[in-house]
Amino acid sequence: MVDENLYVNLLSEGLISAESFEKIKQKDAEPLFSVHWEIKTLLYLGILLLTTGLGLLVYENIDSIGHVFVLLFIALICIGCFGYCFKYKLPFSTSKVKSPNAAFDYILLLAATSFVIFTGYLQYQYKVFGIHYGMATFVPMLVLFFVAYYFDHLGILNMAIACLAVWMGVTVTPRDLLEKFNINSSTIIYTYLTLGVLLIIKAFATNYFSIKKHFGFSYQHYGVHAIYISLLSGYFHFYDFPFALAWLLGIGVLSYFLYKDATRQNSFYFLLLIILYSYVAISSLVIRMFSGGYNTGATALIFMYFIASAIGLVLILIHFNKKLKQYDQL
Amino acid sequence: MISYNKTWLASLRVKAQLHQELKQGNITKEEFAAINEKYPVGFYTPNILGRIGLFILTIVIVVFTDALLSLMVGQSAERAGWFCFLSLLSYVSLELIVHFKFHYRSGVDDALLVLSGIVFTGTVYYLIYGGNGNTDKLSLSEMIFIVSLWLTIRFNDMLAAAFCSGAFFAIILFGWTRTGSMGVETAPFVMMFAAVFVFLRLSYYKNKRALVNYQNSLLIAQIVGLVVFYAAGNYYVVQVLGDELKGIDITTHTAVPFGVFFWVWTMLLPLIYVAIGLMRKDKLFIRVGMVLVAAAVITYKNYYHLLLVDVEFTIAGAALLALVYGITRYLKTPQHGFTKEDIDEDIKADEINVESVMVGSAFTGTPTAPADNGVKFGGGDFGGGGASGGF
Repeated sequence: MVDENLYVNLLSEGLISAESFEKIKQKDAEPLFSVHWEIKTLLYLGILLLTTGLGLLVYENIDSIGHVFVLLFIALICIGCFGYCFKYKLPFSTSKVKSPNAAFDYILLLAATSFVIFTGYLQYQYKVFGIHYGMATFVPMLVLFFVAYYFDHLGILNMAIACLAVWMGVTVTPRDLLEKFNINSSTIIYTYLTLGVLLIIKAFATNYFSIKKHFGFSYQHYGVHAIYISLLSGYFHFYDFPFALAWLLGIGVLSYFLYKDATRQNSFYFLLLIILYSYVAISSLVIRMFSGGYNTGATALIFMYFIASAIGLVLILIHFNKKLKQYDQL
Repeated sequence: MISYNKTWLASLRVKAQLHQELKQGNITKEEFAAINEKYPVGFYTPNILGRIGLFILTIVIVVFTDALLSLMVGQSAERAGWFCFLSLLSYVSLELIVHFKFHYRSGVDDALLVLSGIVFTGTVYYLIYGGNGNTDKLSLSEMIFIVSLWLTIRFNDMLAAAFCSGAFFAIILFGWTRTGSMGVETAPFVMMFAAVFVFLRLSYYKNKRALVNYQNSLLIAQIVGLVVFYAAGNYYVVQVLGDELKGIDITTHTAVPFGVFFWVWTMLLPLIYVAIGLMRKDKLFIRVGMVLVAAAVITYKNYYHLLLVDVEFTIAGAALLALVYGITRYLKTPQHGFTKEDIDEDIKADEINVESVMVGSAFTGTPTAPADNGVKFGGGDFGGGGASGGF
């Protein structure tokens, strides 16, 4: 509920032009009521139900349908969707390309997904790649990266990055990290570290060479998480070794460079990540120092450390938030 | 009565409205910038990331401060009175932060409000009624109602408002059913009347100038009112709640008197909500109605099974898609003031691309092909998102 005379007042104060006032008046005279959200919800629900239902139907009746038919069907969807995309796409460019219409992005997503399902099915049922699981993920990864760049689709780029991570023997999205990530194996830690470094380099290269600059965020997002988590798990994995501190040193160096980059890009998101991950590292070091003898004094000191450091972090966050806010508006 | 600066709240409302106009292209960027200057707001409100970060940090600070203080006082920290004191401490810091540091929806005030509200309600209830082991639902609801009403009045917090209106209906329910078996039988109808009464009063209050700062809370209370109105006549709710209040084992599924009435209510009311929403062009009714349609379907499925699940899903999905197709065709050009376009399209450059990240996490577990376990299809080969929904 806002004052009815608001626009009249704004007009008389000269804050809005007569032209804008007319536009608003006209809009209010014949208001449009958008059911966009409702239609989207129904659409999403419908697709979810239909695909689940069909999937179950096929699953229950696979003996009478046969794998070849199912594969053929998926291949048809895939080819059809890709055909549509090749026909209607806008010409390639190294900067951002808008999609020609609203449905285009979804059709492309369907094409890419069905391709991934197709290769997965082929491998699962017929062992096309034999025991070369690397190849089984490498081929879809290449295709996904190509499609992401060729048609300029962020969602497919994310799928491709996930595929890259799978190919390297790990999964990269946060959800899987929490569920499956096994921090006890040093091989996984090193793989993860390599992946993180690769993605960060890719993010910088993307910005430096200006090839699809808007892809930089995705690379950096996954890269930063991967590299910090692997460094932290490296530290805990080698906790009792003398060179464990080297991992924390790595975090320090990394934070410094990422901080420089984040302030240059004015990105509060990455700043927040840097601060939080570094905080975990510093806190683990502090606890390690204090927890030599278990007595009330040490406990009280640890409590005080957390109170003081959290207040400090709050002040830092507020500071950066205010600093970056001036770029935020408009 | 609200803690926040009222002039700034008014400025925020003006800005929100004009931001809408800006997004719809009715005013220019320069005009919006000029209005921004003219209506200064001194609140400290970070973006959503900052809010989440500050929320977590504030909880860390409060928990460790409380722990340190408890460590200092030693033995007496195990009494409920001590926790009551701690919650009051949080509340005082909340008031101070809002008053002197001008925090508004910053994460700090949210965390302090939630912590102090929950701890205070819990400990005061324990102090007055606790000790004998069994919970008195009526007095607990009263306690929640009083505390959350106070927090709503002071801070116009939506969570507090939701608790407040929920507790209000709980008081009526528990109070009425206390009168004996007659009370339990008539409870659904009493709740319906209460919900209608509350909803109509709220609609009246929403247009009151004096309550202009409480629009969010009133909206939440209205949503609760609509949901309670439906739930009061929902067959499943009536049956289960009735059995529980009469002290019958819930699993026996006794038949509900006036069963036909409640079934009609369960199935028709959501559609009536949607229809009212479309006629009055009221988003509140449409969205609550849509959610309740799902509730009606689940209620029905709980008692009857028509076809095999896969066939049902396929038909329902196809029907929904056909419906969407029909609506989209019908609204190709706006009809009767309805449009399918998003009129508030808001695209900011440097915000995180939520959609892309979500797509990324929905499509993991891609073909790793765990070759030799005998199960058909493995786990997430269809890309996670769809196949495992909780229906």
